[in-house]
Amino acid sequence: MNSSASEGDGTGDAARLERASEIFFAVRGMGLAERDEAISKACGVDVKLRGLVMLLLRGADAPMPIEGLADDIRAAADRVGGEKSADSDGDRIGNYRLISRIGEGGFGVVYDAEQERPVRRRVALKVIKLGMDTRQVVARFEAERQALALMDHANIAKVFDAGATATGRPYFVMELVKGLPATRYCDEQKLGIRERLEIVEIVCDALQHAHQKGVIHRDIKPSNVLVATIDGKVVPKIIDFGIAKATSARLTEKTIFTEFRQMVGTPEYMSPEQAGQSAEDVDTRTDVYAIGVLLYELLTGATPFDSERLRSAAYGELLRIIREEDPPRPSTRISTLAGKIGDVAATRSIQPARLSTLIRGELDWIVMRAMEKDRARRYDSAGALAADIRRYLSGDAVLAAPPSRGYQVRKFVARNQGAVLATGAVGLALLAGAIGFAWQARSAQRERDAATAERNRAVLAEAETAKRADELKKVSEFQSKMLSQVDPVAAGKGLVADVSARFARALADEGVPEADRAKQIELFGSQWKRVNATDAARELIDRTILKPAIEAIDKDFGGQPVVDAALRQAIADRYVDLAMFAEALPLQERALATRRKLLGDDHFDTLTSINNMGILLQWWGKLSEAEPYLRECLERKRRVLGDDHKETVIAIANIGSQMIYLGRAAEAEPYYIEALERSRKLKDEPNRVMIMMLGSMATLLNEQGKYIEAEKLNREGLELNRRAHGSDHKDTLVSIGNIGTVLKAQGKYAEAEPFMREAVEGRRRVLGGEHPDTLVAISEFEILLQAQGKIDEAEPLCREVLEKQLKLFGYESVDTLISVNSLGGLLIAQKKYEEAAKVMAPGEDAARKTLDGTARLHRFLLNLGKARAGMGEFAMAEKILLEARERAAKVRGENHKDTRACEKGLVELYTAWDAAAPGKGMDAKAELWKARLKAAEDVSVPEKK
Amino acid sequence: MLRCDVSVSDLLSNAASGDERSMAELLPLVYAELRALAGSYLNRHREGDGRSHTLQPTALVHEAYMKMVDPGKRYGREHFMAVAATAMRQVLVDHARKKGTEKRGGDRDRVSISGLAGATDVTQEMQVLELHQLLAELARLNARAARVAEMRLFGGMMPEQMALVIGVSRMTVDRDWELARAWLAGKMTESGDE
Repeated sequence: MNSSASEGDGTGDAARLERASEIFFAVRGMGLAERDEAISKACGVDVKLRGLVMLLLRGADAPMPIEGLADDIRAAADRVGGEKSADSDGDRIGNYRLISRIGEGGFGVVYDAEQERPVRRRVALKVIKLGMDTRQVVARFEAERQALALMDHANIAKVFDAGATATGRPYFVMELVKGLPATRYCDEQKLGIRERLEIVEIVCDALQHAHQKGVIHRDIKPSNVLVATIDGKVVPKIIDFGIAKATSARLTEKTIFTEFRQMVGTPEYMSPEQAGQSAEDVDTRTDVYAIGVLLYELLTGATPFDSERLRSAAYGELLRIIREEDPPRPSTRISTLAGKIGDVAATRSIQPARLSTLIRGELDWIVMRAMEKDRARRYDSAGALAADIRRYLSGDAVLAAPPSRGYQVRKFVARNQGAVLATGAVGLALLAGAIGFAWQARSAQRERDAATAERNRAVLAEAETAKRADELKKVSEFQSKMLSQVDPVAAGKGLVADVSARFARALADEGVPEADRAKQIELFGSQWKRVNATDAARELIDRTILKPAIEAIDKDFGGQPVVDAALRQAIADRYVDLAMFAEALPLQERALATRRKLLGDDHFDTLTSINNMGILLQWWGKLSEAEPYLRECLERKRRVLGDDHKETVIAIANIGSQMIYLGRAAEAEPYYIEALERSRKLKDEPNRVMIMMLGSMATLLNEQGKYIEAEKLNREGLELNRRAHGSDHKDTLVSIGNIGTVLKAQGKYAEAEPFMREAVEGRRRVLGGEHPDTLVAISEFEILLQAQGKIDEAEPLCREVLEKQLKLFGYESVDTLISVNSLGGLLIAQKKYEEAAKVMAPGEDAARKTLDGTARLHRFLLNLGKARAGMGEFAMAEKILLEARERAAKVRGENHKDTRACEKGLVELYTAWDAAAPGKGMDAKAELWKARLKAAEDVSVPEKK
Repeated sequence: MLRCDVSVSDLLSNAASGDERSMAELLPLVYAELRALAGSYLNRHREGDGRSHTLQPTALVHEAYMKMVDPGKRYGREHFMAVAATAMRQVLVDHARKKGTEKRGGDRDRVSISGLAGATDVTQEMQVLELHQLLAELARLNARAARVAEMRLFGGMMPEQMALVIGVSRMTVDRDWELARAWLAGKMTESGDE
């Protein structure tokens, strides 16, 4: 307890606040645990002091109620416009007519102005604030004018003129640049890491040009690098060349504070040498340092030194930090962003977890090299920095790398294999390169190299010599069989083992000591884990096997259309397995057309092609196009093969699935029941069709709310699949995922989670991270997380899935639209209505087309309506929500929970509308729907659990 | 309406060159002008449609500035804003107090202060009064921080402008503002919880 002497004593209270504020500023940036400890240490037993510190910390996070008022007053004062009138004669400064004020900062004010003589052009006119010796500023500018005039670069804004206003303030006239500060542009456009690097690369090249003309910028920072999109291209432009130098006046200033206020550069971007004693000691490497900071911020969303900390530090301390303190590496800084990492990653269109892995290593090295305290250790020019960025982007070893053997070896392996995939991630490029040689090595030992074009031709030469139809048939069967053995999972697994063994051997050959070897092999192994071997193998199979196979068919089977069709069909099937639908389609179309023409519509092979055409379109999400093929196929198979033929059973099941995809569960039921019954009679061992039907039936039961039966069937299917194929098989994974879905539908979220997680991880492993089935599994997992309120975990997954689905399918696919709606819902839950509308609006037309007549459409419209309502677009929201309600009532019934959800949406809309525009009778409408909701609740039976 | 063009302009340019007394002399003039403007603004609109009226500080600052400062000599904008901040605080407090009494007397009009999005007029008035009292308390503990908060909240001033008026560095202003803001917001949540 405090002594009574200080109670109510004004001086004591003031001193306590002083002390509390010191503690407040010191602990504010800390993590919670660390903060608590520091406060306890600083306050000791002084309860009042502690209370005051806590009050400040609480207040720092609390909203300040009338801050909006200050903005209004400020806007008014700006409109009255003190600066403009003071400096200009009416609306003119010198030869320039002021058009509008476009910016203001610590330096002064910028105007959009028009120059009338000698040429008429729009310029930017920057008036520097009072407190500078105008004559000196203009003199310094004149001294550099010659050099500035020599600069001619598309990414540098030209500086035309300088002068003094009527009141004696210096001003500069520059090329008018439209654009946003680099950091803001990148965040608003959600540019990925690669695009950000490309911008910095261009800026470096521009700086290099300036440096070669003898001009140093001295004040590179985001607001001096403006970026705009011009003709679809991202164009950065450096502004304010020559101004920092002209206005640097520190040598003539006396007091520290004045000196500080006029300190050239912004503290966050100031180089150690600028923070040093002599202002003259600045060269081109000062700009390299600032670019390093800019790159740092573009990558991590934060400056190397915390801005708040710099601003609250005393002047001397500030200079010491800049000169002496080593900033954390970008990847380290990201890991300390804690809660903000989600936002930072989202604005870079990347998952939070991937962001820091991507930056760790090479990008860390590049940034830290540019930001070395000792400029002799920095890149010696902006051009050298640009070159290293280019090296990184093309997958070459960067110069900034520490001299580690492991890194050099890896890069050497990658570079010398020459196979770089288009994905851009270094890890993947590395893997692909290694796969290139590993694959060749493996296939050399096996029969599989027959799949290469050369072997194709050899086999064919034989066949053509024989000219016998049955031999040709054998050839095509052999080829098809071989193609069907192409297995990206096995290839991926084999490659990893292969390459690891080679790496270990290489280390041994180089004479690396045993202890070091183990460490490097472990590091190497962890690098490999970063890439999905299956995805890489898929790409590789396409490039090294399927594409050459197509070329060979084109060349060699022109005179053998039936063989040609069989091979095309086989390759199309491989592509569909790999989810490369666009590649599959032309092959599938041609195979089907040829077979129809030459074999007739009822031929077994033609039936296969009809079926596969339907499946291709269905899996691609083009449901309405798929259905005619599937129905035709079933009709012909029933007639030609009979109802109990395995192929017919599959065709029956396919129609059932089509109905499920369309959200018409009731229509699916008869098909599924028939297919399941007939499949039980099949003699296969294991009976794959029957096991699949168990899963399909379970899905249907789940849709119908018969969870217990559904769960039972799924567990039965899982058991059979495990026995038939083991745990790591795609069919087994389907069963595992289905169990998760059923548990989730019953609200047993915690029980569902391990199943869904296993389904996701298993499919990532077995099918690859880009496969539609993997995406569906992730999507279901993400929706489960949402249901559990784990919004932060769900959102990045949802974005990942949506991005990949858009790439695979576009908007017109049920899966994509489910993800769009899911992301919309996530954003609405976070009250980010505008973003939700932005995400959903592009899918609206596709939803109406693709989801018409299904429950998914009114769910989509409900979220879209909510987003519009949240944005205050009430009339539009009303239209959408009324439509959603009507559709829900039609599809699901008047008293279904979907219908009620739409009605709740309407009540919320009208309530908000009434609050925004009272007296328009919206309150009455809200009441009307409320009453209707109440009535519905009274009649409806509580749902079965 | 006060006619004070010449003297205000002279006082302002004196204030801009650092004359503290001129600042002090300016305040009553600006205050009187703002109050008169606020009164006439409300009267003018009361004759209108009779629905909700809003006292717009932005319009007041604008008009006050246009009226009081000689267009030929608009120097010392920062100093004018600083004085206007104090005057604006007083005008808003008067307004809120008057609303309080009028409510008890039964006033049919609803007058609120614009710029306070989302809040009802009653809470706005309470916030202004509470802030006014807290600022007075803060001024006893840390006068400069309280002054910075007043200029920022009631004058809409930028850190650079405040730095110029008070004669300290921009960083000192930032720090003062952060302290004042944390203290005020902390106190306001505290009283809200009780």
